[in-house]
Amino acid sequence: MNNDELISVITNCKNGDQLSREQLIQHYRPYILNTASHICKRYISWSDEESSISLIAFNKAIDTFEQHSGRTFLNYAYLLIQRDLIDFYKREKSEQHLSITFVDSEQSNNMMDVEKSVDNYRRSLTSNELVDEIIDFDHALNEFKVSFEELEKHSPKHKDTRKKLYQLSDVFILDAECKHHFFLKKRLPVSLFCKKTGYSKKTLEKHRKYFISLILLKLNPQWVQLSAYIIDFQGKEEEL
Amino acid sequence: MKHTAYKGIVVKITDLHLVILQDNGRYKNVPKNAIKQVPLLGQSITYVEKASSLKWVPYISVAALIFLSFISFSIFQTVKPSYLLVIDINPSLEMEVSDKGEVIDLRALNEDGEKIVSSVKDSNRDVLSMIDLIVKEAKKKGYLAKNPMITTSLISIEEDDLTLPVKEINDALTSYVQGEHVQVEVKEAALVEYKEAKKLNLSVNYYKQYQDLVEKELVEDLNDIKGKTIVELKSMASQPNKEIEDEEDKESQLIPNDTDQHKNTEQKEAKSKGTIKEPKKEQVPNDQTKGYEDQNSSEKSRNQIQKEAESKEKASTKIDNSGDKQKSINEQENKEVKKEQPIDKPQKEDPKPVERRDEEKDKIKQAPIVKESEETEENKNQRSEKEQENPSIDEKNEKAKSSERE
Repeated sequence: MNNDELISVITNCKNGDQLSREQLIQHYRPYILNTASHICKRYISWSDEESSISLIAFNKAIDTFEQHSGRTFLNYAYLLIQRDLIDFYKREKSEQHLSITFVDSEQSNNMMDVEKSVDNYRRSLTSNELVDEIIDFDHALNEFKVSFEELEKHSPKHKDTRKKLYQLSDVFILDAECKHHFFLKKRLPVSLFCKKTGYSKKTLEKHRKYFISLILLKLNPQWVQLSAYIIDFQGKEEEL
Repeated sequence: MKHTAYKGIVVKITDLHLVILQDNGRYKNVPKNAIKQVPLLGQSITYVEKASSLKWVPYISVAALIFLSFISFSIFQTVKPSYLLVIDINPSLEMEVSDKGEVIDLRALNEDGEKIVSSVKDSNRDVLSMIDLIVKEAKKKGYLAKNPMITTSLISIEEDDLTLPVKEINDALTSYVQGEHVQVEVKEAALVEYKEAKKLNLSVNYYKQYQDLVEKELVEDLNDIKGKTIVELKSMASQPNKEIEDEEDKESQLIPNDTDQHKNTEQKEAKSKGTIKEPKKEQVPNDQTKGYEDQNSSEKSRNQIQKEAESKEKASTKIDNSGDKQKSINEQENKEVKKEQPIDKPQKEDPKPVERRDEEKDKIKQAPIVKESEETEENKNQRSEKEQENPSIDEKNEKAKSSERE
């Protein structure tokens, strides 16, 4: 989802399109949870209270996002989620009893400042574009019933095999018939492709999921930063 | 310790892992608790994996387990014997043999067997070569010369029908003792028989032979075969009738042997007394016997006298009936008898020494008296028969005796 698309979707949502709002939230669910976890400094699941606070904050971000404020949407959403979560913790703290462990308020404030600055620096390193790309890539993989956690198991260990698969993915995206089957049935036409290339069906079947991920990356050249990982490694290979 | 660093961007956070896309295009599942702070999506993280030895523990343990089970299986295999082999020369040996023909255990069943076992043990694991060794050892120690027979029994331990290598062992044994007069016998035996034999503390071969003898009613007790070799038992079984006769002969021989001794002593005594004068010799013992009879008044001596009297009567009637011819015949017979049985004469003429002996024996032992007296009775019966044949000899003696009695 590129920037223009996102802005049009957000304006639709503002105008009362419940479906596109739902889709947008659904699309950024991993991001919302990850942000909440990051802010709370612990892993948060959908059954935690923090996750619902984050969802509400995200929903509020859709409504209040100003296109020309000089911020990206994800940055804005992050800010809102963070603010709401801090408010939530403050409320919790006032309602709760005094902490058993003595905390030097001045020192803790100081620590919080340091952490905040470090966090900001980190966030500046990870561009929001990359997050977008990752989320999109994840969705694309899910369509083909592939998840990131499976890819470790299915990715080839030898450089030669990876290189070979990379070359094959180049061949694949140029083949219109294979591509057509690929998108129509949402699965890799292994037999057809092997018949055309003469490549071992067994090897391809073994690394099928990794091969799908390669093809998807190749077919989406707009994911510049993600593709860089693949191309980078490929470039290094060639240098060697 | 090897450290492997994984550097890449976080692409997904699952319940257990952070999935990172590495710089080399590979994906890696990093355990959540390995990264302390919670990373954002797309954040670059570095994960250092310690290739600890603990990681290999499950693999090693599985391998060890398989190895152990394999070893234990092979041990279990060898431990289980498939049949028993019992050899009897006179040294009795017993060995447990596996189905592959390996000797698992070698045991001696008697003292001679132990000598063989001590010299043969642990030298070989194969049955046939083990048998060869045993036979050689038996030859060396001279057991085979003493008992030229090798009896072997094979006992299947496992319930399922196992074809026992009876023929192989038989062939092997015969080849080992080729050219010598050694009998070889290989048989199968049931486990039940083996157990029975164990109960009686016999080897199976002995037990079988014993059963055989019991069936033929040659022996009744274990004591009957004690100390006998298989060869002896075999001969007992194979020639049962002869054996019985022999045994009877032996028994009957035992009795005359005693009397023979008596006779010899009698002869000596007679000679020493100077047996030239017959009447003197007759009178002296008769007086003594009379005294003996008076003292003891035993029934048997009376019987003896009665019998003698009867025979005398018969003899006298014979004489009466027969004329001069008869007399001449009797004289001829007398000569012959005198030639043939020179020992009998003094015995008949003076029964005194015999009874004297009896007296002596009575003093020493009271038990054998019955037997002795029986023996003497038998002797006397025999004598009386002979007297019937030779009435003329006895005539004078008995007449004298009767006159004395009268």
